[in-house]
Amino acid sequence: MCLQGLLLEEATGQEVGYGYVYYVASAERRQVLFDESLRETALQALAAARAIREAGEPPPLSSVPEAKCKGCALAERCMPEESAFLTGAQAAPRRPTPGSNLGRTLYLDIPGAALRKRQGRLIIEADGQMIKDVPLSAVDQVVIGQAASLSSAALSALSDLGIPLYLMEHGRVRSWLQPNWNKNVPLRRAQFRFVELESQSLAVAREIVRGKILNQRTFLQRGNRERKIDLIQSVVERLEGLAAAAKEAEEKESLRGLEGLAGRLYFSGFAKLLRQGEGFDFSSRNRRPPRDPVNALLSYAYSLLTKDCINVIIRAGLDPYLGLYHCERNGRPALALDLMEEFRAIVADSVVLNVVNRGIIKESDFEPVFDGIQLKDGGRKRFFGAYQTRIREEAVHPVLGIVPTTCGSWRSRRAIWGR
Amino acid sequence: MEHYVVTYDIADDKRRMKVFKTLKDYGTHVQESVFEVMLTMEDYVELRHKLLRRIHRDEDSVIFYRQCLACENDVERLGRKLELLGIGDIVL
Repeated sequence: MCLQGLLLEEATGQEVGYGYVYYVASAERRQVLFDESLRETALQALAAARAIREAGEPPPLSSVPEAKCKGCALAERCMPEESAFLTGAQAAPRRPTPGSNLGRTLYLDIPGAALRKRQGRLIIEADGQMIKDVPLSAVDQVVIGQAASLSSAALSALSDLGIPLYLMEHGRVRSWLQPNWNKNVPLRRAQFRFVELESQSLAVAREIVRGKILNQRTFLQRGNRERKIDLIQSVVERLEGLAAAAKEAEEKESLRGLEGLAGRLYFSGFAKLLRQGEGFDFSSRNRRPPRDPVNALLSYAYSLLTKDCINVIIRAGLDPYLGLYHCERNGRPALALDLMEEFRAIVADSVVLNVVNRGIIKESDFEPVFDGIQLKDGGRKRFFGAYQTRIREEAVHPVLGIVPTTCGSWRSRRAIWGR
Repeated sequence: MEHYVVTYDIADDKRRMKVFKTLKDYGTHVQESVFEVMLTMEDYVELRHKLLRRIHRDEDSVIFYRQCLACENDVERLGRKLELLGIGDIVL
């Protein structure tokens, strides 16, 4: 504030002797006198800030000023406890604090709808009629499920507020509008350097595959607790062995082999957890396009998960297209797929199992397309609802809302250390 | 994120409309002169600031009743069903 005072002095030529700070939380107003020592400190801080800007990237926090980080809006971005943990200054992080972005999603799946802005609200129209009027402050993310028209005023409002917009079509993430994407070039550079080093990226890839297999195992075990099916029990045991093997793998090729084998085993167990009959027969995973209802659901769930992973990665300031485990391919968000591997079973597959076994999605919710099958409008909405509920659940007792950011931060930190 | 019930009593029609429109950008119009809003700290500061600029302090009044999490369960709503915006997802 003292700096602001100095600026005012410079602009108006009059002396500014004091200012006020208002604390919203405690509704207190405090006077701050701009005395010599404060002016001195302010100018020093300014010089320090300039130095950081010259250097290109902010230095990691060496100590955590506990009281100051608590309740700070930027804590989610600086992750002071995680940094302290990684530099060995402190034990495992306790938080994470829920960030201001709660992931409240506006999901629009009406063919031909129009999204416009009026004052501080988004107006959704279909067939020339307004169907919904949503305050912008109530939305953290917009997902468009089917072709809709967007006004440029709405787009710039979303950009201004930092709300990402995703376009999905035929159940895949086609494109996104990401405000302020990756301004931090040094961080991205560090990511590229990190990936270049085979030994480092292999170490992370091993963890990814091991984590994925262990989560598949946990998921099957959880489903089998009541059912007690022998086949699943044997799959669980074999997955354990594969996870151990993944930890020792010497190269990415062999990791891919292990992952594939684990996947086949896992899906044979998964098939047994689904309620039989009802047209939800599932024998193995197929895609592009999925040929039976369960595969269609899985594909859709994975693309929603991809969207969320891309979101997390971009928020961490990394490039979603450059992965560690998935190889580069044009248009493939490899890092998002890397991040997603560990969450496939416990988030996406569990939603699929839930909607099928509870009858939330029925066989009549599907329609054939080309040589495959896909979810119809109403079913997609219900499925999206179920998916979001799952994410919320996790956000309360922290898994998804947090683990991806932690992973993201881990990787980003490692990328920084990796120089 | 906090839940507030905002009520207002504005002497002038034109100003009342302005206050109404401002509040509509942040939450759900529940009843005449009553809004329910879910606000982050930043949004709260912003909204408060906007309202202060719109009202005449000696004639009008706006009241924010903050709902604590525990009180939330004690709310009973009769009649017309309302969908409160700002709490969860909006699926259309």
